[in-house]
Amino acid sequence: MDLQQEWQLLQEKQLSAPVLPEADIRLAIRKDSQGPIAALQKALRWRLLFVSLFLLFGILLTAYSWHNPELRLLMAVFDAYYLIGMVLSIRQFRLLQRSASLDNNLRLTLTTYYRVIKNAIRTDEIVGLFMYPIALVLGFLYANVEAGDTLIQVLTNSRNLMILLVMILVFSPIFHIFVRWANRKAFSTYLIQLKQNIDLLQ
Amino acid sequence: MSQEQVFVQLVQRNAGIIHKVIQLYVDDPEDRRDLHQEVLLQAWKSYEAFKGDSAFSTWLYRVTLNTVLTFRRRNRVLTTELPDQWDPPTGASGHSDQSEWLLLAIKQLNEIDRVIVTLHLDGYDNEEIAGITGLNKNTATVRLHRAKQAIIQKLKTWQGVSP
Repeated sequence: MDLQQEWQLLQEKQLSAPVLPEADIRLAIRKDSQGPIAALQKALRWRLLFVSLFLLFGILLTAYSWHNPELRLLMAVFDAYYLIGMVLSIRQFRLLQRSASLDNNLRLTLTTYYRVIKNAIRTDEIVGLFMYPIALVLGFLYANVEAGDTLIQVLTNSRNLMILLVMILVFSPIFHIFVRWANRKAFSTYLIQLKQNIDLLQ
Repeated sequence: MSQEQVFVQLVQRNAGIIHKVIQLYVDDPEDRRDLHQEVLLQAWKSYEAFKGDSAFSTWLYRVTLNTVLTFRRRNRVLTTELPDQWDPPTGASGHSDQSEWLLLAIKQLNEIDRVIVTLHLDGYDNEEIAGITGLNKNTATVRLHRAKQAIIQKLKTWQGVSP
């Protein structure tokens, strides 16, 4: 059997393209991407929104509690934490944007996607581990100091320490497990698929 | 003529590449539709960087393969073996349809060998195949030889059981 000849026949019978209307092309190039990088960017946009809102809230609260040095300290920690989170998220967003090019060779494209997506997932899990629990802990401390206690009093009260410990031990793993589960559901098969093809290109 | 107009015309002239690659890698109709749009979008996004160092068709082939193989497909075309007692497909006349067999044999290769074989069958030489895949030329040559042998072997087996 002549493979080349059969391939030509196959192209004529099954693989030849129907006419592609100009309107369809113009419509397609104006749609949002459904690729994995776009999905990660979408998730990152949501994270950026949350971090920005937390930060805005933190700045307003810092101004409101300026009279109290302890509250000011707590809010400074809170603001700095979320500011770093925001900068890291923007950096990651730009990194994803840069890696989205699809006109390199196949091996480079697959390797870049694998690395970038793995990194994005890892960062997401680390953020999930700290972002919400820290907000909860700082919120709890703030509420107590605002109610009239000093920071030392709050932190030396065994009941408060117990609550803080429960918050850290319960909420941190819950958020972490949830984020891991969501990422695994969304990307584990995909990453295996990428890895298999990268291995075949070695 | 605007850049978009030029792009649209070039894509229309080379639409067969997109259609063919998607048919070879995706079985799910929804995935096929999504991927078709995604390839057009990614090609448009990358078009600004297209310097004309290679033919537009080669460049589009590269973008299409990259888009298909980095897309999160609902169902991949499986590469599992067909059962021993499998009846090869026959054409409308009842005779064996060898081009259909070729398609099935290609679909049973792993995804990278599928890329190498289809590029070869489309007339790309080993150096171009190496450039598109990122393999070195020798590896691409060896892989192509093995993949073609696997296809020929499969076709011979099916010819043996065909009516």
